[in-house]
Amino acid sequence: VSAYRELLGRVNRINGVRGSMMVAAEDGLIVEEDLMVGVPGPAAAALVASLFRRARRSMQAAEFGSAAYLQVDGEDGLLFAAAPPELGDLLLVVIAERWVNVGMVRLEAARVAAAMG
Amino acid sequence: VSATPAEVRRWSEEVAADPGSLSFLPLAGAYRAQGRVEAALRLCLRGLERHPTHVEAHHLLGLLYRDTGELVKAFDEWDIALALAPEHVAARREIGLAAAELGEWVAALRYLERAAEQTPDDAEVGQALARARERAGGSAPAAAPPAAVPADAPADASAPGDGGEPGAVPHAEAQRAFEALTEERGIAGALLLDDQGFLLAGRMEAGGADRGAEVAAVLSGARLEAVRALRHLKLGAWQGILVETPDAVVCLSPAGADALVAVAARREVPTGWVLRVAGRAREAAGRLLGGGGTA
Repeated sequence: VSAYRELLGRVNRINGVRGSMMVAAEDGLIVEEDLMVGVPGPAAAALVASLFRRARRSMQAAEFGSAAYLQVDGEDGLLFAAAPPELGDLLLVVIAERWVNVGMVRLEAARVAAAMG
Repeated sequence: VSATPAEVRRWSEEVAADPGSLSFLPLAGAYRAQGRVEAALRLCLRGLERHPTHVEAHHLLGLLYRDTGELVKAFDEWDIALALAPEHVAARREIGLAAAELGEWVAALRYLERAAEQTPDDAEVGQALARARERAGGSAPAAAPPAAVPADAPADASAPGDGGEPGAVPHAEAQRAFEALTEERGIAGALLLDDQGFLLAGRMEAGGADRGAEVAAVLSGARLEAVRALRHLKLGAWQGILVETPDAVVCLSPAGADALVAVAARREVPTGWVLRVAGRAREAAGRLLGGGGTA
C-alpha cells in the first residue's frame, strides 16, 4: 500500500465520504485513488483539476493569493479539492455525501498535508 | 469511409457477445452515419459506462447530442474529451463551432484559433473564426480569460451582449445594495453577475483597486465547470462554490436562474459569516431581478 493510499484511506473512513484521490493539478491525472465503485475517477479528476485551476486564476486576478481550498456544493453531494503548499502540485480531491461533516473532511485534509510535509 | 454491412454485423455481434467490447464505438459511428441517431446514442452511453475515459466515445457522444439539438450536453462531452486529451483537435473544433453558434464570440475565438492552427485547411473553422474575430470585440463571455476583460470595465447594468440589450436590473439600486454589503467588516467585495459573466453591480477590492470585472469573468466560468463536474459525479444541481486562499474567502452562488452572486472576505472573517452575507446578497439579487424595470 502506497503512502498516498494510506492517507486516502484515513480520509475515506469519515462517515459520508465516497472516495478520495490525489490528482496532479496541472494535467488532472490521478496519482492515487481510493473511490467507491461507480465513481468515475479519471473524468472527475480532470474536471476538478480544471475547476481548481480556474479558481486559482480567479483568485490571482483579484490579488487574493493562491487558492488553497475549493468546495463545490451540489444538491446531492459535495466536492472538495485541497491544495496546501505541502502537497506541491498535487490536489487532494474528496467526493462526499451532502450530509458529511465538512469540518472533519477539512481536518483530515490538513492532517494529510501535514503528513506529506 | 462508411462501414460495410459486414463490418456493422461483425461489430454488432462483438458488442452483443461482450458488452465491454470497444466495438461499440465504430458501431455507434456507423449507426450515426445511417441516421440512426437514437440507437447510436444508446450504444455510446452504454459503452461509456464501461469505458468512462474513452476520449473518442465522449467526442462521438458530443456529436450525437449536437445531432439531437442538445448543444449544452454536446459541449459537456467535448469538454470532457478535451480535459482527458488536451490536444484533441476535433473536440476543440466542435467546442469552437458550438460557441460561435451560441454567440459566445470570445470563447469561440479562443478555441477556433487553436483549431485553425492545428487544421489550417478546415474551411468551416476558417469561416467561423473570421466571424468570431469580427464579433469578439464587444463581448466578454464567461469563459474569457481575465486578460480579455478590460480592468476598467464599467459596472454597468446594461450587459454588453451581442444585441446590446438593456439589462433588467435597476443599476443605481443594485449598485447601492451590493456596495452596502461591502461595508460589512472584513467583506472585500460583493458582486452581482449575469449568467454570461457580466458584472451587473457591486465591487471587489484588492490591492486598492476594484477587481470586480476580472473576477466576474473567471468566476462565472467556474460555475459552468462546477455544474459539469457535479453532473458527471451525479451530485445534483450546483448550489455554490467556496474558494479559500491564505488571505481571502470567496463564495459564489446562484441567484435565480440567470444570475450569480460572489462575496469575498478577508481570511479572518469566519466562513459561516461569509456564507450569511452571501445569503443576503442572494436575497438582494432576488428582489432586484424579480422587480425588473430600468434605472
